[in-house]
Amino acid sequence: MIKIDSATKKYGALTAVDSVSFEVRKGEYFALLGPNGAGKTTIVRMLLDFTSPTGGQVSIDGIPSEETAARAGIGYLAENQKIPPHLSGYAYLARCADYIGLSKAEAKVQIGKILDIAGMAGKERDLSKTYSKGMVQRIGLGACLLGKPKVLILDEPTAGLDPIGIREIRMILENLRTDGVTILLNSHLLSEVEKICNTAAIIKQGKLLVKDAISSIVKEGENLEDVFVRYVQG
Amino acid sequence: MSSSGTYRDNMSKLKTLLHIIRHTIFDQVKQKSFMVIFIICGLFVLGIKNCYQGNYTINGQQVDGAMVALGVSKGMFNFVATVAMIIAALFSMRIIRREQDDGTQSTILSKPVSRYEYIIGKAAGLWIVTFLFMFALHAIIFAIGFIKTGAAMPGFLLASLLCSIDILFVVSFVMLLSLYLPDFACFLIVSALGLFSYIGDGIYSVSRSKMVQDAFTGNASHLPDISFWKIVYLALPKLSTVQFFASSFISNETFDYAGLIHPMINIVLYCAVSIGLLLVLFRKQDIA
Repeated sequence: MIKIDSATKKYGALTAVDSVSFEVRKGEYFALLGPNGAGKTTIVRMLLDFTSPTGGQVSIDGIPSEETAARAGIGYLAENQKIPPHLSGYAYLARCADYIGLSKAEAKVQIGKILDIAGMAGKERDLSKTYSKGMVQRIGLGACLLGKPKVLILDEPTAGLDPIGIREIRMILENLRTDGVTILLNSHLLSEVEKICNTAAIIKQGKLLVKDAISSIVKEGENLEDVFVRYVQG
Repeated sequence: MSSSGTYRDNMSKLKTLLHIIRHTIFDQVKQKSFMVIFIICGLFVLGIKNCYQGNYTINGQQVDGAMVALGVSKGMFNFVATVAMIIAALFSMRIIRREQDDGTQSTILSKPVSRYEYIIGKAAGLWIVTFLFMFALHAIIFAIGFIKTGAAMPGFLLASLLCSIDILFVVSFVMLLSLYLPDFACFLIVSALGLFSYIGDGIYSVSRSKMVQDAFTGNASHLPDISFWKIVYLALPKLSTVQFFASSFISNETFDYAGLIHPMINIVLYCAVSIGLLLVLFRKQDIA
């Protein structure tokens, strides 16, 4: 579903991503882990064609990421999700529906369902400038789900949320498992990653250190945090 | 790919483009500054209605009322067209950066929308909204002139349409500059271009006047060498010349211009270059 093949990204002398290769299979819940500045967000940005790889290939569903069609079945939640302040949650979702080509009628039905799932029903007509960070994040996640995407790319989806907000996001993601959605999750919250994802990759200074099923890399008596620290500090 | 598939693809791209244009216009109109500027300009334009009344006397001779009406209308036409260019520059100078900051850009470009669709949609949206702004004000002047004098100026609204090409140039050029320069620098550069254009046209008109030509007749050796400045003048975007060309339709005058390329073609070429560079360079930029 997602294929990163020897992807490299250099900014002048700095190598943000250094010949990283991995694949995320259909239906997999995949976590991309690493300390700050490891290159996780750069990989996400290459997937979305926000930045071009200096070397290597990045593709989604066999389509090179630089082609517009590669983003046809993708939902993306940014690390610092924002909604223009003059738009309501509903208007924002309606715009997103426009961009993925949903008809007005289809958009209305889907937005109604998504507002329920995201727990934003009743607040959708308020201007986004009145929303809390958690509400913006939930609308952002709702926007990802429009058009029933095959792949979700979530960059720190629980950043800045309180424990209840984190739990709500986790529940939404859990419910998507039955739909066969593929998720690439970029997160620092290792306890959440352990609960949600089945596969993980750890990168450090742009290099891939390990990529395997979480059940394989976490030894008995350890948790994902221990593994993360072992790889990153070791 | 089959032709029906290509057709569907093209229709879907067109729909996306129209959505971006619609949203851009909506976002612009929703800004308080837009409404404030529009209301101020509207009140100012309405304020000219008294200029059509009364008797004007020059050197003891009564001036024809129709002449006064024409002069006022032409003057206001040029004033509004100039204001519209300034407003186009103000709107365009920060649109890309603002949309990076408020998340609009990453929202759109994470969807199956190409960067070309995005940038064309933004430029077209700004062009349309500024043109409508100018056209509405021109329509008010046209209506006042008609009500006060009973005579319609059929070329007035056509002239407004012609001036829209200046707005397209300002929008595309400022957006292009804003990829690399701070907002205000973009505004200053395009303002300087506009100013050079007006000054150049002024000097050009004076140099072609009979009085100036008579003054230099027989004194060719005293003529300063202006060939460099002439090239500069002819090569620069002919923003004000297009405006004067357009306003010639209001009074049905012959447009007198001795340059090699018609000012409309000059601006169309500049628009093509600005838009082309904008598309290519925006494609190469990283999205924040």
